[in-house]
Amino acid sequence: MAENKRGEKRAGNGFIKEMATYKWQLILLCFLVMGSSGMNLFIPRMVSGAIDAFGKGDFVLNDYLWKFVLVAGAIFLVSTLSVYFSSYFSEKVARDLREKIAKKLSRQTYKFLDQVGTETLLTNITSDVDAVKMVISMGVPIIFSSVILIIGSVIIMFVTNWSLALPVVLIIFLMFFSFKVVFGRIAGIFRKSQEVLDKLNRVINESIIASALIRVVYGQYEEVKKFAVVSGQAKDVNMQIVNTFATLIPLIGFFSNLAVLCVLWFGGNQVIGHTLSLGEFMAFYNYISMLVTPIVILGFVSNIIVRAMASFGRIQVVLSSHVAREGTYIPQKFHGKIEFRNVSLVIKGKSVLKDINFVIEPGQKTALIGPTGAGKTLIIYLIGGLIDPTEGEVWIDGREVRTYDLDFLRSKIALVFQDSVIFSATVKENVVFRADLPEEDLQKIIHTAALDGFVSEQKEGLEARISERGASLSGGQKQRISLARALALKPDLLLLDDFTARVDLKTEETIFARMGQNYPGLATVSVSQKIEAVKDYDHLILLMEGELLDQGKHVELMERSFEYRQIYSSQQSTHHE
Amino acid sequence: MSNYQLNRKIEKKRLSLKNFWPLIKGELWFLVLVLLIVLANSVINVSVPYLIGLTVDQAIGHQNGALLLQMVLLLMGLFLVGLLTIYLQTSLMGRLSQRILYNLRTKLFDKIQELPLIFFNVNKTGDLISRINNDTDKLNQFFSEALVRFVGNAFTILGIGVFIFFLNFDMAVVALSVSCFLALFTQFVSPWLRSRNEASLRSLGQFSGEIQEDLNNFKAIVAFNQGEYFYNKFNEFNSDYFKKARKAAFANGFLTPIYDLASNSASILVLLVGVLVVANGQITIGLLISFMAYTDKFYQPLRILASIWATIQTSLAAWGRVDQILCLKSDLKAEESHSRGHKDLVMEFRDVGFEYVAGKPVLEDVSLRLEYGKSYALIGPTGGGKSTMASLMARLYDMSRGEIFLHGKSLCSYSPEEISGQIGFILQEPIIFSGTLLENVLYGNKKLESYTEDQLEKALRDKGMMKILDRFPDGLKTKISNQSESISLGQKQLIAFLRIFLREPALLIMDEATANIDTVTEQYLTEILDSLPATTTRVIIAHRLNTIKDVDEIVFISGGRTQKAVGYEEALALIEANKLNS
Repeated sequence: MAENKRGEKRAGNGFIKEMATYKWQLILLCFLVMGSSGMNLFIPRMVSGAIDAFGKGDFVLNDYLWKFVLVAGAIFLVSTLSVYFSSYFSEKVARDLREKIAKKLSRQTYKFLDQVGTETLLTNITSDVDAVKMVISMGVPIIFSSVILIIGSVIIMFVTNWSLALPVVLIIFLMFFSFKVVFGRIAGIFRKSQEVLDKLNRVINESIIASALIRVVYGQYEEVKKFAVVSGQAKDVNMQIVNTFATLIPLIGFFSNLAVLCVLWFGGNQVIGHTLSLGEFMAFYNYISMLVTPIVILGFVSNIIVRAMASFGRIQVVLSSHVAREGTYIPQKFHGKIEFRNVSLVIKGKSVLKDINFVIEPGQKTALIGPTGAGKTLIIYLIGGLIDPTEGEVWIDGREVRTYDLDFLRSKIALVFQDSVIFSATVKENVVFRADLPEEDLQKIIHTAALDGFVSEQKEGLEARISERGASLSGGQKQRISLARALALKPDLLLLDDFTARVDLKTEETIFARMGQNYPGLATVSVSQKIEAVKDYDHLILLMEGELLDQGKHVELMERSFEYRQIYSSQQSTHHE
Repeated sequence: MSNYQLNRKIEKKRLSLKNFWPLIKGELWFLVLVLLIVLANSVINVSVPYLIGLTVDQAIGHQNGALLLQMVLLLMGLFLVGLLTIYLQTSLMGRLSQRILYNLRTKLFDKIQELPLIFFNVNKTGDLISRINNDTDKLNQFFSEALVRFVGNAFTILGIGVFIFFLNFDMAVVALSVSCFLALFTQFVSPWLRSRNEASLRSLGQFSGEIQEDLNNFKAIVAFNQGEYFYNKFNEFNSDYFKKARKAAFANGFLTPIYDLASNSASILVLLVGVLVVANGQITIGLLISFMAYTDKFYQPLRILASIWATIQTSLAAWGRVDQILCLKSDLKAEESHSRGHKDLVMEFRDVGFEYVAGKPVLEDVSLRLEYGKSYALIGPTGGGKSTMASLMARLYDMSRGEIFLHGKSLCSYSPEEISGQIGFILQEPIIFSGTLLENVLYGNKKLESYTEDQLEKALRDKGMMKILDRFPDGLKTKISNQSESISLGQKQLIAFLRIFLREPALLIMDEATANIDTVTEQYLTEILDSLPATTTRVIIAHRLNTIKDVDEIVFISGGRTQKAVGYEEALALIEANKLNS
């Protein structure tokens, strides 16, 4: 609870700091809003002036007509301007905030994303930012003008008759106290409501990623059930919010009515007791009715503010996150000597790599071999800098990997994921993103990844669009696009995670032949299931259940490793090539 | 194939408040109750100023202390009743709105679950999320606030409008004439208002579609150092949404100044005409003053209506997007169960053709007969059509031409549930849900649904499958999530294998199901496969030829056409002969 309170306060401070950058726009906005509502007060005054003049007989039609048209026109202009500016400004703040989140994310690690969860980030960027935006468009100007009106009328009341003003001020304090109590309670509920939104996002996202499986096993029922549970949670949390405000809003209205009653009672008795004139009483009564409306409005907008604070607190988690690696070292030349020094990795409390030691020499072809779940992919991720070891260090060319400039490393080491990642974009964008690559290089890459057939089959060639998750592509095509993407970096070291698993033998041979031809000297670290394919490699590393069992050349391992021989013979018996 | 592409302009259907009728139909009596409370509250609101005026005039003005006490107590009572009515009104309407929102959200999700796979190929995940979460929330704003305020204010306007006609007919015509123009104008701009809101919601949908995809693919963005690419693409969509949202926000706000202008114009008109009428001696100046006050009272709620009207147009635009999904129907054909296929085949393809996109056939004239208890291998170059064939077998898509039979009856005559009971398809990409291993393995399994850990463990032991569980540190209790790296792709494939295997299908299809599993474990899986009932038919798609060595028949697929290979050697020869054309 105390933790939450502090979080609320931090969010409040952060929000004020964020808004401070827009202070001039905010002031302009407040003036425009107050100007347009203030000018609206002129018309009744002019009307009563006109009627008075008419009664006295000195009413000149043309004069009043011109005045009215002028004032009404001015009001229209100012309020239109105010609407325009407020819509522009609030949306701009929202856009800037989203951009800031994206900027931060673009420099974040994969691990951070995994921890926060994509579902939360989506809510941050959409619903949370919208909540903050509402404060600008509906909250700030209204609060500003309401508070000024309240303070103004309280001062005037004190000056007019302090004994009558006292009970009124007491009631106002009571009101703000109930505001405070409710806010303390509701902030947490608002946060919960956004968290349920995250959950809804996740269930929908997972059900779409799994759409094929769901249809194969007829899991629709499960999905519908899962969604109904979370959707019900959303309903329950929002009911709590509805209830709180259903209590707060009439209560605030009641308090302000109570203030009116106080004036009526005490003031009325003062008039009856001749300590107050009826005229003074009427004036005081007018001030108090001026006070009521802004207070009731404050009650309404309080909702917007508390929600925004809860959402801003969530956004701040992203904005204030540290960008994990800030190494700056850029060497003259990248050699590609990889060293694992007592590397251990623990994920979610499970030890998945245990005290791994090996050295990969520059320019060599290395293979990682071992049963399912041995930790091969994790070693690829560690070399690629996607994750950091829990213990021990990964060294590259004699330096700890974290001291390197990340851009540099990423331009030298390329990774082909086991589960191909495909963007819904053109084939070309999937390969080179938005980089400009000479046509010649591009052709070489496409040729090497044996994608030339695929590309020439497409009517739009490289500009052919691929749908989300590459639904219309075969597994092999996706993997070859992933390879092309890695080659486009012109890396010195290529990490291949079980690349050939989904590519047929003939294509596999072609690709490796072309790679040798087009990229001579390219060092590779490959995860492979087939020993036959990596038999001639310089260095084989055998892993099992997170431990490094043995390493060396094929002949050496055949000689001394029982497990290696077992794997080899399991493949040999049925191997025909 | 139906057009499931949601991201197109919504047909120019006339959208009006009537469209919300189906949503509130079931809540009609509840709504009537709320409106009665709203009415009671309005009565209090109208009477309070009158009573206060009375108090000032009669009690305070005439120095009547006893009356003052009575009036204050009466007002106090009214305020207390008001406290209750506003509480009830807000609370009941909020509840109603949350119920409607819940039902709508759930209905939308259920609908999406009914739709065929192709729907997900043409629509973006984030866009669907946006429709289910953001667009329905816009409707919530209508129900929770706008509806009651709309009705309440409409009552007031109507009441005052009728009342002033009794005060003075001619003046009333003058006073209300402006509002007629306003009504016409509002009617005229409403479609524009709606289209701007729709554009904004559509842009938001596209934006979240882009974000969700990039977040799902973030691994590659990080590994390829494409933060910049992500950031730039993000900003393109961000600015587009900014532009559309800004325009929508302005459209939603700009009615208010217009209504102000109208209200002010009406005041002036009434005054001018009134002055002339008073000069002619038709009405008194006192009546003019009260008439002016009533004109103001008429236009004040109208101003509020202006902002509510914008909310209504936004929710109508949102409803258009939601309704687009609700209107979709599954295009998987439902057929009568004619037995025109061979009874002794588990599955048969007759001249089957298939295309995802018209004019781009993926399969052409494929005929295939799968016998009970036999095993088949589909081989061929990547992109040749193997996975598509498997998808047709499991009826993830309907064929474009030809016929497919299951147990001699048209595949289209089976319900999805029946098909899922007969056909087990281990997909190329293993799918994992956040949860335990137990939940994942029993996912969608109606028969074993209620199995506890111990029961399932025993079942697995009986089937000789315990060795698979050894690959998971905490056995069936192991917690897994889709994104996390704590579980390898090979392990995911093992889960997918277990999941389908436990369903004991008549036809088991494995699409490179063991591609990332080590060969020792794979051998072991083969043993498990051999323990399946003798009638189980197996279809295997694999690149590692050793895994298909012992099958009964090999079918070679390339360029969407099949060719039967007699024996393993011939299959090898076919592969050798196949030019790299994919």
